[in-house]
Amino acid sequence: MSELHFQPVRGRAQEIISAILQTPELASCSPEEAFTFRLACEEVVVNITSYAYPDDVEGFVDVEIEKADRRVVIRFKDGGLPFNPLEHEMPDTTLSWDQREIGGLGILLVVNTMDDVSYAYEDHKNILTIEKETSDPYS
Amino acid sequence: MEIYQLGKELDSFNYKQVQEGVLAILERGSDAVLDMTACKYVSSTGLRVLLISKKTAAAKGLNVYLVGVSAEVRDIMDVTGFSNLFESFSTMEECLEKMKK
Repeated sequence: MSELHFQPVRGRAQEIISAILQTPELASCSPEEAFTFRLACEEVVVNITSYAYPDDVEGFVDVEIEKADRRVVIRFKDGGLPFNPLEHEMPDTTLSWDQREIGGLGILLVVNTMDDVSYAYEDHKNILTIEKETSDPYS
Repeated sequence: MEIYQLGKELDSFNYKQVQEGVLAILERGSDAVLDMTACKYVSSTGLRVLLISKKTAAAKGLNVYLVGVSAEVRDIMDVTGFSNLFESFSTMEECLEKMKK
């Protein structure tokens, strides 16, 4: 398991995403799977670095990455405002451009690209877990 | 119409310059043709740029077209319903042909 810790987080989304993708668990994925993880991580991490904490707080995010039996599990823990992205309604993807709203796409992409997404609030921390089966034959 | 060429990604880290570039084209009263041939990665922030561009264009009686959307980006656009929001072409030639008519 890889464990990453970042504090502060503001303005560091790119660095955080890169670090996650460079862990052995993810670096061993196929290019297609790496693309998917990069996308899901960008959506989750940018959300945390931009919105989890008020401006004057030096927030943190802990990221745990595990890979067992080709299943990758990434757990994001932040101490920011309690926020469950899964309890908000997903955008209606059948609407035409003039009816579509600008927000909500991030979590839609996470839910659609990952096999499992779950949320918990424990110990004053938001814990968002994303999981995906990979086809890496060498894990 | 004017062509705006995207680089290999459109994400939370480079979206501002793309948005500004496209809006500038619309400000000049031209339709915007986004050449996405080199673009292999789009995140939700990138999709937001496309949607904002489309809405801004429409308010001015203009349009935004996409050219050369890759398979990876097409998947993202399909899942979010964005494929239905834009007229897109495989090649610039096709796009220019269509716009001549």
